[in-house]
Amino acid sequence: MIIPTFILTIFIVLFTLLLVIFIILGLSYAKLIKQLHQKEESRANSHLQEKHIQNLLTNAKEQANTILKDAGVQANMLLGTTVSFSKEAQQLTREKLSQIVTEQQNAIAKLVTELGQAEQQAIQHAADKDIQTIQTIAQDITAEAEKEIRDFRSVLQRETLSAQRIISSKLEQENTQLEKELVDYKSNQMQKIDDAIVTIIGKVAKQTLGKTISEQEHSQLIVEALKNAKNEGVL
Amino acid sequence: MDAYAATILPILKTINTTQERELFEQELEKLSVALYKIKPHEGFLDIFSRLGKQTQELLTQAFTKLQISLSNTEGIKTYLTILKLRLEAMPVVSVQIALAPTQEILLATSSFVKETLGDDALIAFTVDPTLVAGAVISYKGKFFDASAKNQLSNVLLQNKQDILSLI
Repeated sequence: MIIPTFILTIFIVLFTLLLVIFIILGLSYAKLIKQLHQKEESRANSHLQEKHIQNLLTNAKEQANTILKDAGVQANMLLGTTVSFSKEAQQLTREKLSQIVTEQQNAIAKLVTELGQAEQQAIQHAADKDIQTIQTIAQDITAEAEKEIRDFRSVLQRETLSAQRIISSKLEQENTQLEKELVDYKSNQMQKIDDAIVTIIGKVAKQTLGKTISEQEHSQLIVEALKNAKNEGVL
Repeated sequence: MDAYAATILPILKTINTTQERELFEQELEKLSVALYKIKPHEGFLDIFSRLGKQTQELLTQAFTKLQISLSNTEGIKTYLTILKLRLEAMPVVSVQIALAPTQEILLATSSFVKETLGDDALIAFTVDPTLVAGAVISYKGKFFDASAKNQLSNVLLQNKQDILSLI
């Protein structure tokens, strides 16, 4: 079976369009994957950073406690070596000092806790923002892909309808042409039959009549023809 | 002009076919050419003497009636010019027949045509053997087929379906 050129052309055009759409979709998909990878890396980095900050805060807390303890110890040592202080005064001073150390420890602990909470909030905020950004990108890519698909569908529909119209038109033309050819062929064959019969009968008539008609009879027939022509208004 | 017509008509009456007219025109052309030479009179007489007997007689009668001497080259030129124009204007009936026209056919046909259309009418014969018999006549754009072939064809067409059913 031979496929008409115009149908082949239409299929090639449609195939090309389909290929282009697939390439666009593939590129969009690759872009999405890349962005997701980048966000994953960013998130991993955020976790590492969070851990690092926690460590820093813990170390800072421990160092502050150590400094305070060392300060308390040194103060006690100074108080112990001071002779002029009374025992009551020394006791009072120690208690006061112990109270100050405790208060400072509590304040530092509170500060560390607050810093940790603030840092947690900042990380959470950044994570929320990242998720939102990823969601926006995903939505954009989805919207873009949907638009491409809609456009492709529209083009495909239009091209399909156009192809259908062309094919329908061509089929009608070919049908009409075939009908005409058939009628012509039939007419031609009938004419050939007519001609053949006339020729055969003419030959037979000539062979039978021609030899038997005399010159005088020929002459009479010609004059008769002229008379008939006159009667018909030809002459 | 009537005097000229009166002398020309007997000449036209003797011409039955376009072939005869062509031969007659060729003879007149020779005479005309001779009249335009350096010695027209001698040349004309020379050519005139070589014409067919009937042509000589017809032209002599015409010149006599019109009182044109054979030495009157201008008078002869005028006459020949009018005669040529009249020959060209002869009505022609086309008659297609199945065999070459014999003398009998020629006379019978010409007689009928001249009686019908006038003494100056001509016949242009053509031959088509497939006609078998009869004739195909055409005149002034009108056409009439009275050949045996046409009659057979008509019979055939009338019985076409019966014949085709046998095939």
